[in-house]
Amino acid sequence: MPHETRRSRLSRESAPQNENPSEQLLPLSELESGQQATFVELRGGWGMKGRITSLGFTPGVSILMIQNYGWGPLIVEVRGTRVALGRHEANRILVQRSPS
Amino acid sequence: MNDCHPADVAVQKTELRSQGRLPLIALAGQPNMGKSTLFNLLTGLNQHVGNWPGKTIERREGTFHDNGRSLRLIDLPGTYSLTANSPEELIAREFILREQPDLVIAVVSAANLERSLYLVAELISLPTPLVVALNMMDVAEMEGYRIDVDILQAALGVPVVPLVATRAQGVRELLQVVDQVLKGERVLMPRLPEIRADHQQALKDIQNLICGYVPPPYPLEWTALKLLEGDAELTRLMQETLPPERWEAVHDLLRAHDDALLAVASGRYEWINRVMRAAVARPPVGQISLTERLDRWATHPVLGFAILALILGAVFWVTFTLGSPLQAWLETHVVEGLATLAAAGLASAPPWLQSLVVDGIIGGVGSVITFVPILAIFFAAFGLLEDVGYMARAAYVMDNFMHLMGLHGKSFLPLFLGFGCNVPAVMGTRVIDSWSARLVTILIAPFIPCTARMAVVAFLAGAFFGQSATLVSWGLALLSLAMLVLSGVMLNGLLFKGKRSAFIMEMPLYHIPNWRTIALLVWQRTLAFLKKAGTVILGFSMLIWLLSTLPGGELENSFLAMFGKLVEPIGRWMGFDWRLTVALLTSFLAKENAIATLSVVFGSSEEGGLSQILVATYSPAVALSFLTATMLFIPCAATLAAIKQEAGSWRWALVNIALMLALSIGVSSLVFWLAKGWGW
Repeated sequence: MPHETRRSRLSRESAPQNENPSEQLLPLSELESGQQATFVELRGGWGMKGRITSLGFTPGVSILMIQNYGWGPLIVEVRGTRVALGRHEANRILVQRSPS
Repeated sequence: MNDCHPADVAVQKTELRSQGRLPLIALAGQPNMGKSTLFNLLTGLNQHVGNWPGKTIERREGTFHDNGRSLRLIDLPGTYSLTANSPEELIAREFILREQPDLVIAVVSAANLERSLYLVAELISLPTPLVVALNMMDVAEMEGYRIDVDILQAALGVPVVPLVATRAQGVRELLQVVDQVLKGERVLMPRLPEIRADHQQALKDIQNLICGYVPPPYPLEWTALKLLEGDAELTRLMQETLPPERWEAVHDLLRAHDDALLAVASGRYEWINRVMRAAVARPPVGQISLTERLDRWATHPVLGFAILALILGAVFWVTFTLGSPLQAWLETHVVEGLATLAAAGLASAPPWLQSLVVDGIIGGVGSVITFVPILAIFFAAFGLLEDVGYMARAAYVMDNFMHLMGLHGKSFLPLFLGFGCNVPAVMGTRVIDSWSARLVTILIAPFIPCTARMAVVAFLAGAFFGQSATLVSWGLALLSLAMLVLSGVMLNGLLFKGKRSAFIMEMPLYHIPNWRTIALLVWQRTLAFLKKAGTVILGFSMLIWLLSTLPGGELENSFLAMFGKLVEPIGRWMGFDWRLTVALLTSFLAKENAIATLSVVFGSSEEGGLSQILVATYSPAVALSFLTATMLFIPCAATLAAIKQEAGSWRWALVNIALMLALSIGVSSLVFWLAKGWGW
């Protein structure tokens, strides 16, 4: 996956949005059903970080929104696995929308 | 002492570590990989279920025979990784490092290989020999994945055995490989994942700093990696063991690399992707899987509720059409039969001994036995829903509602089981992964109006309220649920400062249920209930018998009646006389005992007569207050035993008693005065 290698060279200091100002980061919860995005970063404590990385969320991975009705929990697909996330958790996951 | 410059590729030696003991094999795997199915397949009924020391996490151990020798098998808790994020993960990795099993079998799903290899990426870096059981080959085939096992094996450097555990396919081959590894006939050359390039220097630096200070059994490089991953347990340990200036240097490095967890995880996934690219052909894009089609209905915000309601309705229907007649049959044929038999056998014995055996022992144990059919049906329904993968969908659909109590969706199904009996509800809380959510769920479960309490309500409401009986019953059930929500909010705020556990849950693929797994689960849970609750109930049953018989042999003059009269002033708040107080107290044994006690104190064995006497004796306000108290009163002995078992100590059982006692007295006093003011 081309995204993966590109992201992996990014160091912590250069925030991804500086790379291309037109590509804005948005919380995962704002992604609509059927849209795809790239995982960029997580704002959260260690506990949650550990849990979501072991479920497959790492920088550069592609996330497909399966179901998001705008309220309540949502379902995404990441690395071939369906994962349900609370809205609160999805708000803390920042992604970059992939061109459709 | 640690070797500070470990070789890059370690050839694992597989000489048996278990000199003089049975070879020990640990089963590791992420949740929903069919690990339990494999465990049951290998051990059958030769297994022992208990708890991990100091934890209420299930520990399953068994033995099996292969090639003329016995082997011990431990089922480690299902974990996504080996970083100490949860007690399960801590247990799994401490077991592997400290108990040093001769072999770890990692169960992975062929249908979900990328994610399930993540744990393998962790296990392969540990010093224990590893064999990968590639389960669910049938599902993978159905979903369109083609996996070349030989290439996968070569890419991982450890044996890989394809498996369909639900159909017992591949087990013989797995055992052959296990045998070869244990005998040292197979040399393992595991290929280890590496941390992403931009953090490799940091890893080396930390390794050099902690070298010589890492306490056994932790490997040096692994410890350095876990520090970078932010593992709380090892960070604490190294802070204690390292000299302050070294810890300072490590701490600075960790702070400068606070995103290292992602680098470590990315390194593992890069390793996985290299392996996958070589060995796996993915299904064509756009193929719609069975799970995807089913989930369009099951997780829909409106349809999902309807489906959930239908399924739960079906569970109740089965319980009542199957469980209730069985319960009645056991009552008349087994319990009463036993009582008659005992009475006949003890005809020449003193009356007190007859009474002890018939009323005290058989009466108490009987109430346990008659509950078994309902319990078994609920355990089976619960096991089935979990095994096919629906449990996660129910949790998803109910998540919004459960948020009201600071809980999340996973608490819903255990609570729902409480409508049948509170015991499976409390035992079912094991599906909740966060301890705080689990404890709150355990403590509020007894507020669910169970069938036994509803039977008392049906009898008394019918007698007192005639046409409004249904309305009163519904009102009482809703009141109980309101108290449940209230207690949930309160306990969550008090015990956990309102902190909500994160809702992150895998939605497993749907699959065909494995009857063996479900049957074993029902058998083990029912047996556990009979053993643990049975002894507690027998004890309480005899205690209540003693209190209601001594000193004179008559309930009216017994210690229990004396106690009832002693606490009558409190009973008065609720409008009770000593008889109602005693009836409420005996409901502790089993909720339906309230009616039985009333018929004893009013000297009427026939129910029709009893309801007439009760209506003539008490006002509707008193009846309503008594029903309210019955609904909210402390849980029955069986539920209390389950709470003690699941919460891990009597302390939480006592917290529950205090909460429910206060609420039942408070609310029914209020109900009594309101009803009286209304003119009832």
